[in-house]
Amino acid sequence: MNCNYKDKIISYIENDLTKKEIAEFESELEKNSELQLELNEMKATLNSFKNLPKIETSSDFIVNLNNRIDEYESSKIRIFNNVFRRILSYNYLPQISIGAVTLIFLLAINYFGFTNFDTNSKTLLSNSSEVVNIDDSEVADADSLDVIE
Amino acid sequence: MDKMTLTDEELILAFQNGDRDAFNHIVNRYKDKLTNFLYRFTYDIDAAQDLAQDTLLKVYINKDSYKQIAKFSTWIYTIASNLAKTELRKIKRRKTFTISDLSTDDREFVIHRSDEDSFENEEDNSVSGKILEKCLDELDNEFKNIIILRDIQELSYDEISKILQIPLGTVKSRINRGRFKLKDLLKQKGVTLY
Repeated sequence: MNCNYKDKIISYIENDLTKKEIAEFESELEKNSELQLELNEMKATLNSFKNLPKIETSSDFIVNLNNRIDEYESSKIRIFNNVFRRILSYNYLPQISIGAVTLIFLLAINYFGFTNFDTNSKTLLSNSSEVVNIDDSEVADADSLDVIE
Repeated sequence: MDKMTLTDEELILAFQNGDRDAFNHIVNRYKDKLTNFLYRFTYDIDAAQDLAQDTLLKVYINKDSYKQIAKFSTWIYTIASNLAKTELRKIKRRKTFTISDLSTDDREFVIHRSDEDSFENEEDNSVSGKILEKCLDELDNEFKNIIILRDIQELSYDEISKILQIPLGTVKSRINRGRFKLKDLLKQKGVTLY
C-alpha cells in the first residue's frame, strides 16, 4: 500500500486533514481495498478503548486521603514543636545564653557606632555639596563661554 | 458561588487563597480519572488508588507551585505520570529480584503460568477489555504512556506534549505508531477487528 495514505489514516479518522487531502484520501479509498481494511481495523482498535473496564475508587478513598492530609498537617506542627522544644531545652541553654549576650553586644555596637558615624557623615555631606556647587558654577561658566563664541 | 461550575484553574486558585472546599471539589473531579490512569500502569487497583492519593496529596502540599500559565490537568497528570514512572521502576526491580531468586523449577512454573494466560481459548474474539489491557501492557512504555494519555484519558496533543515534555510532532508520530502497533498486537492475539 502507498505509505502516504497509510500515514493519513489516523488524521482522516481525527478529522485532521484539509478538504483537498480528504478528497484525495477518499478517492484512493474507493479503489484501494487494502486501505479500506486498514481504516476499518484502526477504527475498531480505537473503538475498543470503550470496552476497557472503568475503575472506580473505593468509598473510603476520600476518608483515607483526608487522614493522610491530617497526618501531614499534624507532622508539620510536630516538627515545629520539636524544634521549638529542642531550642528551649536545658541542653542548649549555654548556647542560647551565649547567643543572647552576643546579640545584645552587637546591637549595642550597632546603636552607638552608627550614632557617631551619622554625625561624621553629616559633616562629610555638607562638604561634598559645596564641591558640587563649585563644579556646577564652573559648568555654567563654560556654557556661557560657548554661547559667546 | 456554585463550585461545580468553576473550571479546574478557578478551583485551584480558590484553594491557593485558602478555600479548602475548593480542594475537595478537585478531589471529586479527579479521583476516578487519576485512579484509571494509574491503574493502566500498575494493574493493581489498590496500588493505583494509593498513587492517586499520593498525587492529590502532592497537589495539597505544593498548591502554591502551580502557576496559572499551564492547564491544571497538565500539572496534575505530570505529577501522576512521574509517580507512575517511579512505581513502575520499583515494580520492575521487585520482579527482577523475585525471578532471579527462584530455583529452575520455579522459573518453569512462571513461564507455564504465562502460557495459561494466552488468549487462544477465548470464546469471544471481539476486543474485550482484558485483551486490550494485555496488548497495551505489551507495548513499549514510550507508546503505552502516550496512548493511555490520548485514547483513555482523552487529553489533547498539546497537553500530552507538555506532560511528557516532548515536541508536538513527536507526540503525533508516536501516537500513530503506537496505535498501529496496538492494532497489530490485537490481530496477533486472534482478535477480529471490524
